[in-house]
Amino acid sequence: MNRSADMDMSGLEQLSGFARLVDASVLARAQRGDMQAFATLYTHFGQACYGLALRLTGNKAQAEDLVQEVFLKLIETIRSYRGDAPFGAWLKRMTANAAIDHLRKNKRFVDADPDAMFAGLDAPESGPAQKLDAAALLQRLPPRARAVVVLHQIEGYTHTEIAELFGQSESYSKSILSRGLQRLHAIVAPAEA
Amino acid sequence: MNVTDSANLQTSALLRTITDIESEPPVDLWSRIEAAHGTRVRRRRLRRFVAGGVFSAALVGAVALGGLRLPSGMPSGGASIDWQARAQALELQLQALERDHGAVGRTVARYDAGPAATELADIDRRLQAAYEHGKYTNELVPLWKRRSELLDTLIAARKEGLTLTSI
Repeated sequence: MNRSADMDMSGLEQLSGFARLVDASVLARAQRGDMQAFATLYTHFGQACYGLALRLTGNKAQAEDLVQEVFLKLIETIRSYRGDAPFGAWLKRMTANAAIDHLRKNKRFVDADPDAMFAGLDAPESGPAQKLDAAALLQRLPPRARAVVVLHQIEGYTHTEIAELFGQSESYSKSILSRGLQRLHAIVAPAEA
Repeated sequence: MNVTDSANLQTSALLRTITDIESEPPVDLWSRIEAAHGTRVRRRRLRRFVAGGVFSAALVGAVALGGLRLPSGMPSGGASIDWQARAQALELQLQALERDHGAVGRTVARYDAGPAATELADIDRRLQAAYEHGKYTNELVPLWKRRSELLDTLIAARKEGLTLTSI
């Protein structure tokens, strides 16, 4: 992300990503079905949406599919947006939900049991390349564990929110996060030692 | 700081760098979304069109089936019958019967065959009044229909040579 692009002439950092503000008239036009307004919303939030989808899935094709799915759903459901929460937060939640729905539907990723989730993984290996590449580091986690780590450590979701998203208990979220971070530490630690 | 703490910090710092990774969506993604939306809209319209067609076909089928289920000899679909024309044809038929029986020149209105003839005369007066007051077709049709039924009765009675006392 180019930080300089988020700075205005006064040097104040402008809001970026999902925190960007949306003109009420754009939302009103979108709620009337104006596709040009949706194009504006995509211009504002498309990158943030894609970035989150990519972090959660670790796969560009899946991230593109998710963004498409999210915006198609947005077009159909924006009338239900009442402005109770900032629009960006609403869209972010929609994106996270879509990613987790994808994980839940994909039978390859039926790994609700934390023990089973980490049981079949190879022993972690460390190396300079992985140390420098967070995306590659996250690829070493099972899909659900990856999503939990990203949501908690990067996106700031609480265990309560994660548990709600996955339809599981808070202890499930805590267990997955703990095991996921342990695995990541094991990859990073030997290089540090 | 021990190795574990150091690894924790290292991991956390490393994870945070993922937000700095360039994550530009493909330039054509929005056009793909628009195209997918257009396809959805078209499919939805097609489904509605097909559903409407199926409903119409089912309705036509039900009407046709209802017509087929009527007893044989009965005209299908009361609304499609021209009761006025039928009544006029029956009146000619009755006049022909009157001629055959030596009653040439007597009109149906003057035909005295009991209650049927009396009601027929009453129907004729109501029809005349309805036309004079510009009544709508849906008010005239029942009168013409009843006139046809009375003429049917009179013809049947005449053919059998019976004196009609009740309908």
